[in-house]
Amino acid sequence: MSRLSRLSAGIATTATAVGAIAVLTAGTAAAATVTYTAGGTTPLTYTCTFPGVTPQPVLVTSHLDAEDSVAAGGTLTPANVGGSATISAGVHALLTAVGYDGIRGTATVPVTAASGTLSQPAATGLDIPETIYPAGGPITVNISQVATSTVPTYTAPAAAGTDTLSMGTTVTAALEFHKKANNTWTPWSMNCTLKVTNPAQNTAFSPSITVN
Amino acid sequence: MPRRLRPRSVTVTALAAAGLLSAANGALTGVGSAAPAPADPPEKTATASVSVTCPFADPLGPRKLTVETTATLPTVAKTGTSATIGKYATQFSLPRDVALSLLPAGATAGSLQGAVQLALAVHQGERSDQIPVALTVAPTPLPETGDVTLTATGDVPEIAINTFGPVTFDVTAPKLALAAVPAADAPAAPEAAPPIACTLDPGQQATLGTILVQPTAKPGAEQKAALGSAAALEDDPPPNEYTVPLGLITIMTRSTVARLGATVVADPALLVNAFFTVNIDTGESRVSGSAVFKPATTTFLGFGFVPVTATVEFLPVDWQNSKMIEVGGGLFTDDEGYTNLRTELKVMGKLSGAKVNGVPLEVGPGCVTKEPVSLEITGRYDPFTTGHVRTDPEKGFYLPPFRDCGSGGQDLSPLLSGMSTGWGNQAFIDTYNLNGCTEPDHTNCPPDTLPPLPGTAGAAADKAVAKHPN
Repeated sequence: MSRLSRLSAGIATTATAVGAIAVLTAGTAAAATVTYTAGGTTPLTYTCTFPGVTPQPVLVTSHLDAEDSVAAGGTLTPANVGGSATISAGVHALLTAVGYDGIRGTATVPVTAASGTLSQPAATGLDIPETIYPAGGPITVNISQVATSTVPTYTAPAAAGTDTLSMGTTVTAALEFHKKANNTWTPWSMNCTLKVTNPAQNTAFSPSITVN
Repeated sequence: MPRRLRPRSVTVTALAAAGLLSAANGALTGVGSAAPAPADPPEKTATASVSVTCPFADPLGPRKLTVETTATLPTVAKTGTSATIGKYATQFSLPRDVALSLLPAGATAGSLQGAVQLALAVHQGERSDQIPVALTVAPTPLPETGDVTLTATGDVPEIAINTFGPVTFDVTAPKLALAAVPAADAPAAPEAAPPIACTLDPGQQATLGTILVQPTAKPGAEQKAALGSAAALEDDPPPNEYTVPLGLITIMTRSTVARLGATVVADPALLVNAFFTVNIDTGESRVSGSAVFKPATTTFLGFGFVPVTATVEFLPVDWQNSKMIEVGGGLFTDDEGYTNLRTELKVMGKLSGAKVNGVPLEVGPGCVTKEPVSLEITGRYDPFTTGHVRTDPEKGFYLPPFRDCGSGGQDLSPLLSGMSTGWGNQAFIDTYNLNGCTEPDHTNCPPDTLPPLPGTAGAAADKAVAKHPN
């Protein structure tokens, strides 16, 4: 075999090996971690209870990190589950007017799966960090997964295809509002119900989960 | 909140009887003792001359009279104050044959006296109302020849100014109730003839004068509360306000009447049609709503020794037509940073079902205070939890005398007024949230902020406060 032939054979061998690696890599890439979002483009409107007044609109977004595909019957455990809740400037002004300027607590965010199953119906114990909000403008409350949070594990259906996670219709939060005058926290159990609209709000997380 | 409107004749009659006047659809309200007096505004003398036709009985027939009116009125006034129209006088020349017809038959000399009733028409923008004015004609001798000039004078009730802008006063046609001055030894006069209701001749200017009402500069929410709906007319652009309905709120009321030593505790009432409004730009806020209070029965010792039981009911000023009492006020932050509610309520106190020493005392269906009870109430208020507002601990509130009490010709108003009228009474209003809950299992519902249960430490403290409210 000439040097050229040996070189060509070497290149061919190398190419085959690279091709094999590429195939393997492609299989691994199908299970990459992605961020699923609900209400990412258009926040979902929930109607939430506030003390002393009738329920008020709150804009909610949510997200979670998980692999973008899963084997049929396999499981996914989401991470970095969280989101945000935006309280309008009007409701913020109302809270300010009655002497409240801060929020803290935990949230329970229900999640549903179109085909697969979930180990529990909601992510619980999501943290709403203690935050003081100066008067004026809307309030954006951040919600995030912490060590004490519990998030459901997703089990894919037995058949291959796609599956979709969605936000549930009732979000709850065990909140405390900070009373500025005496630096105390007043507990409040907030219940938020997905606002019924026509057309209905899209509560699905995007993208869909690929079930192999 | 829109005020309930009633036919004008009813309004004028009822409110005039109570010594209270309402004008311009809530823009102006006649006042009792509660309205602050004007701070010596500049005055001007106003005049009006109108032609009226008065239908005297045949054979005299209808006659045209020229009625000259003079009065003094302030050129400007501030909202939240009251305006006084003073030195009100009406003068007209009565034809001699008409004057003679009022004297005893055949008499050619004598004097006339009587009353002139009229109304001042009040206009502000497109709103209007009328203020009744009662004038007296002092005994006036007829001249030897010619017509007799009669002058009627009297007081115009003070007019509370609530809405800013020009307020115009027009004179209207009078009702004449004239008669001869009886001789000293004359027998009792026959029943007076009905008054002659004159009509204003068309096509003439009847304006007496105009008061320019300016907004009162008040700090914060108090100003907002004072301006009320008028703010919406002045502000350009409209205020950046956010209004939300309040949740379910129950109201517990308790009042004490100092002279009776009585405490009136009403059953819990609900605040309905309640709203919370906040100005997003300024943070000023106010609450409004309506409430109906059930009659409450109380027992006390009349004059300190007569056991009396009576049912007391708090009603709106328009008590003949409604039971809804409008509640509203501004929120402000006190020096300690707490949110407070300041409001003024006007209610009528109605008595019924009285028993003295166990014996029923018929006070009649219309035994009410002569004028509204004015309650100036302030206290800490937290819509998240509770509100505790009350009248000033030192001043309290004034309970006016009663009227129209009694039946069968027995006038009990002086008795009841003598027992109870006076200052130093207190009113306490507590608000508690009734949290809405859609949980199928009620045990999962959030707790209400209702008053402490009987027997608890909180209830004992509450009882102590009730026993020693001051």
